[in-house]
Order: sequence, then structure tokens, then C-alpha cells
Amino acid sequence: MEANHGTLGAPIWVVVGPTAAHEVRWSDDATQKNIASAAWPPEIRPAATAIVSYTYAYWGDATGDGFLSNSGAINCPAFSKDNYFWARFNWDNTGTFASAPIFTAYLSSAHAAITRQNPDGGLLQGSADTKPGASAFSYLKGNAWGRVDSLGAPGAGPANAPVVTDGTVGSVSPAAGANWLVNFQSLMGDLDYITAPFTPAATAANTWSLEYALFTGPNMLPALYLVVMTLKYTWT
Amino acid sequence: MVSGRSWWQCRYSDGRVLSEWDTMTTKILLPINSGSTSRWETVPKDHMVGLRLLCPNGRAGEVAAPEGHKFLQLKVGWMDVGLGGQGGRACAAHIIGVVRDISGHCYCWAWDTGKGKLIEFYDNIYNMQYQHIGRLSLEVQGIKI
Repeated sequence: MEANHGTLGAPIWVVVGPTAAHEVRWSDDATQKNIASAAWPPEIRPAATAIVSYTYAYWGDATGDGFLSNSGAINCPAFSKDNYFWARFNWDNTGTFASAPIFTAYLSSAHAAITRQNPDGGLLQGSADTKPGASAFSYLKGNAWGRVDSLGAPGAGPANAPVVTDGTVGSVSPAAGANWLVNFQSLMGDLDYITAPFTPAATAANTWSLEYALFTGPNMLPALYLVVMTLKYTWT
Repeated sequence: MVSGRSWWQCRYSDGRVLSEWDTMTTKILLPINSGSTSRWETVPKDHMVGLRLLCPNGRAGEVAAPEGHKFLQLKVGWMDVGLGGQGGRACAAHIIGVVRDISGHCYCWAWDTGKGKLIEFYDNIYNMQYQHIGRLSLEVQGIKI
């Protein structure tokens, strides 16, 4: 996966995984550039649900800056759905997909099954904060573009900004073509996820545009969360 | 197997046998796991009548059909981006199968890499429930129904 730490007009894509020591971090502070992971500041659990505004791309333990931060020249801007060059999955031309790839998140690289709201308040398991109806959703939300970028990358963001209760049980897909999901999807392992509306062409390098946002709330369990965002895919 | 991974091997009605290591994109065509992806999509499907999954624990699964273009083979896995956690890539399972009817029902074997176990199951190529894979690309698999 690559993240844009340049600007919307001049994206600069930096690898945030799966390479070792490359990762995505969140903070409620806009100035967390080049901070060692051991010194990453905690966030106080808020009294009301809120988005965790600042997303950072790290390509070394103490080397990184904010998404859309003009290579760190400015403080990390707050999340905006209109930053349509946000992140993207990328792949080379050495393999062939056998089905449509899936965008989701797991508690760890063990990819164990997730139980909704168990424990209550887990980042991916959800809580009353993320429960608009019968089902609690993940605090982590995702959106994805309806085609590979070589057929036309996004020129605008999704219709709706993410909200803490966003989610649909099971799989959702953006309409094939120049479309985002209208609403963001909960990223919760094999329970809630996004399936691409396409199987990428064989032996062809390409990218798939994404947005994602993290929320928190008064019912979130205080913890050090070390989850993974995942492209689940098949190949021949 | 010394490679520690599973391999497919297909057979044809004229007795020919083609193994996955013969189709690797690297130059050393041996089952030693030194390499790159195979090319199932370019493997001839005419007159293919059997497909085996050779597993590292010495077991094998096999599916058969009286005619070609009924077989499927794929791997499923993950590419993880760490959010403070550990990123990486992993193969969850290696799957073979044969389509049984025009509705897409299929009979499959999978080598589950996490459990180190060969499993047998029934599914449907139009919406594979195993590992939540969803619809398979029939073009890539060379399946004709």
C-alpha cells in the first residue's frame, strides 16, 4: 500500500506496507512528524465520538509525516474525504488475480476471526459508539474506488464523509467504474469488508485507490492497538 | 516435500502430466520453492481430466472430470499494512477444484497453511464461501460451462 504524503495536486506516494518498519499511525495531534514509535503520544478517550483527525505515513521507526502534508512541509492536515489521492493498493506485473481483491482489517497478522462487540469497545469489534442498529461496526472505516487507476483515477472524493456508525454487514462494493462507495464501510475482518467490483487484469501492474478513517469514542477500550489493514486476494 | 509448500499437478487424457514447478517463471523448474508465480491461466485446459494437490505433509487431494475446462486452481492470502502492528504477506490456502454443474457447484480440496491440513469441501465458483473469496474469474481459470 502507498500513501500520499505530497499534495492533492502533486501526489508523492510512499510505501506504508507490507515492508518492515513501514506503517500507518493516527494521532489527535497535527505535529507528530518523525516521532519514534516508543514516543508516540497517547490520545485521551473523548467524552463524545470523534474522528481521529491526523493520519501519518511512516517508513522508518522515527521517519514519517502526515498524509497530504507536502512531504512534511506543513503540519498534518485533518482528514477530509475530499483528499481523494489518499492511499492506494499497488501491485506489480508478475502475478494474476483469480478473483476480486478485498479490503478489510484484522486484529493482527494472524487474521483470526473477529467477534462483533467482543470485547465490547475493541477498535475493530465496535461498541455502542458504532452501533446504529442491531450490529456494532468497526471504528475503522474504509472506502474504495470502482476501477483500477489506469482506467481513470479519482478526480473527487466520495459523496459522504465517514461517520462513526457507518457500516454494512458483510461485503459491499462500489459500483464498477468511476465511483466510490457512497458511504464508508466498516472494516472488520471477514465480517464487514469491501470487495472490488473487478478482477484486475492478468500480469499487469496497477493501483486501486482508497480512503480510510479512524474514529474513537467514550465506549472504546483504552489500549495500544496494533491492528493491520489488509488486501485479501487470490492468485494463480 | 522439501519446499514446505503445496503444488498442483494436472493430467491429460493422453497420459501427459504437467506439474506446477514446470510452469514457474523462474529458470529452476524444480519443486524447491525458489520462485515466482506459476502460470495456471496459460496451462492448456483441453483434454485435462485430473488435477492433484500435492501437500507438504505427504497427502494429496485429487479431482477428476471426463473433459477439460472444468478445473480451478488458486491460492488465497493476505497483504497486511501495519497500523502500529506487523505488516507482511502470507498464503492462507492453496485450492484446487472441479466444477460439477452449470450452476457452478464445485468440489474442492485446500491445503490450509495455517493449520497444516488438507481439507475437502463443496462450494460454488460464482460465490465461493471458502475464505470469503467470492466470484472466481472464469477467464483466468479457463473454465467453460
